[in-house]
Amino acid sequence: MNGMIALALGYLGMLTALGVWTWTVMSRARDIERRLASTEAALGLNDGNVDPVLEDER
Amino acid sequence: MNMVQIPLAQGDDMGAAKEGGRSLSRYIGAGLIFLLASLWLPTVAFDSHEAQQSFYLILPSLWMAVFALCVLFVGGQHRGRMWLALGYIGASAALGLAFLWVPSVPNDAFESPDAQRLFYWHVPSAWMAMIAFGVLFVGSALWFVRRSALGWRLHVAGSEAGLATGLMAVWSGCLWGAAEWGVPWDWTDVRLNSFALLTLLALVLVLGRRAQPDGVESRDTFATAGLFGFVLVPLTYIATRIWQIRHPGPVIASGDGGGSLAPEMGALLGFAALSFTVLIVGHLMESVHLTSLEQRLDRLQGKLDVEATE
Repeated sequence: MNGMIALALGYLGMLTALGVWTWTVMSRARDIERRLASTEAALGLNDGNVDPVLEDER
Repeated sequence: MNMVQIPLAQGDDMGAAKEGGRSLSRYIGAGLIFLLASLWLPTVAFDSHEAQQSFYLILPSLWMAVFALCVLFVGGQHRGRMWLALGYIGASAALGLAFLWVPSVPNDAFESPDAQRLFYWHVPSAWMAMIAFGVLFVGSALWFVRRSALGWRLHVAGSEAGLATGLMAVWSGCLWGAAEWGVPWDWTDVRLNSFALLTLLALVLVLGRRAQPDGVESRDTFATAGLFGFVLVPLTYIATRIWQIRHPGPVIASGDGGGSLAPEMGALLGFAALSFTVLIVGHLMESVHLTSLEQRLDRLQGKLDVEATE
C-alpha cells in the first residue's frame, strides 16, 4: 500500500507540474500580448512579425 | 542605461483579454464534459465487460482527434492554447485511467506489478520528447541554412519542450527502475544514458540561451549544438534493439510483426499517446507564438530606449 501511495503522489505531482507548465506558457503569452497591443498601438507600429536580430543584421 | 517600462494594457485591450479568458474557460469546460461523457458512454452501451474493453477508448480517441483537427482549422490565433487545454484534459484523463482502471498484467510478469501504471506516463513522455527534439533539429537546420526567423522560434520551442518532456520521461523511468529493478539508474545501459544526454543537451540550450545576449553568433552556436545533438535521437531509438542491457525492448513496432501488448493496454497507450501529442503540439505552437511576442517586445523596448535618450 505504501507503494501505491508513492505512485499516487508521483502521478499527482506529474499532473500538477504539467498543469503549471501549461498555465505558465499561456499566462506569459497573454501578459505579453496585452502589453504589446497597447504599446504598439500607442507608438503607431503595426509590423509585429519582425525578428530584431535579423532586422539588425540587414 | 535607463529602461523605459512598457505599460500594462488598459481599457479595451483588457476587456478583450478577459473575453479571451472566458472563451478559453468555456472550451476547457466543454472539453471536460465531452471527454467524461465519451469515457462514460461505453460503460452504459456495452453490457459485457470484455466487449467494453475492446471499444473502451475508441470514442474518446476519435473525439480527441476530430476536435483537435477542428481546432487546427477554425481555432484562429488561439488554436495553440486550445490544443494545450485539450491535450492537458486528455493527458489527465489518460493518466487517471492508467491509475484507476489500468488494464491488468499477470502478477508474475513484473517484480512490482503496480508500478506498470508508470508505463502510460513514461512512454507518451518519451514520445513527446522525440517530437520536441525533431522540432529542435528542423528549427536549428532552418536557422543555420536559411537564417529563418521561424526556424529560430522552432529551435527555442523544441529545446524548451524537449527539456520538460525529457525530464518527465527520465523521472518516470527512475521511479519505475527503483520499483522494478531495485535501482533508479543503470550507468551501463545505452538507452538510459543516450536519452539522459539528449535531456542534458536541451538543458544546456535553454540555460545557455538565457545566459547569453541574443545575437547571430550565439544563435549559430546553439543551432549547431541542436543539429549535432540530434544524432542521439536515432541512437536512442535503436539502442534497445541492438544492446538490450537493462531497459525493456520494444513492445510496439518491434519489427517482428506484432508486439507483446494486450489490446486493452494498447488502446489506453494509444489514447495517452494521442493526448500527449496534442499537448506537445499545443506547447510548441504556443511557444513559437511566445518567442515571436518576446521578439516584438525586445524591438519595442529598443525603440523606446532610443526615443528616451534622444
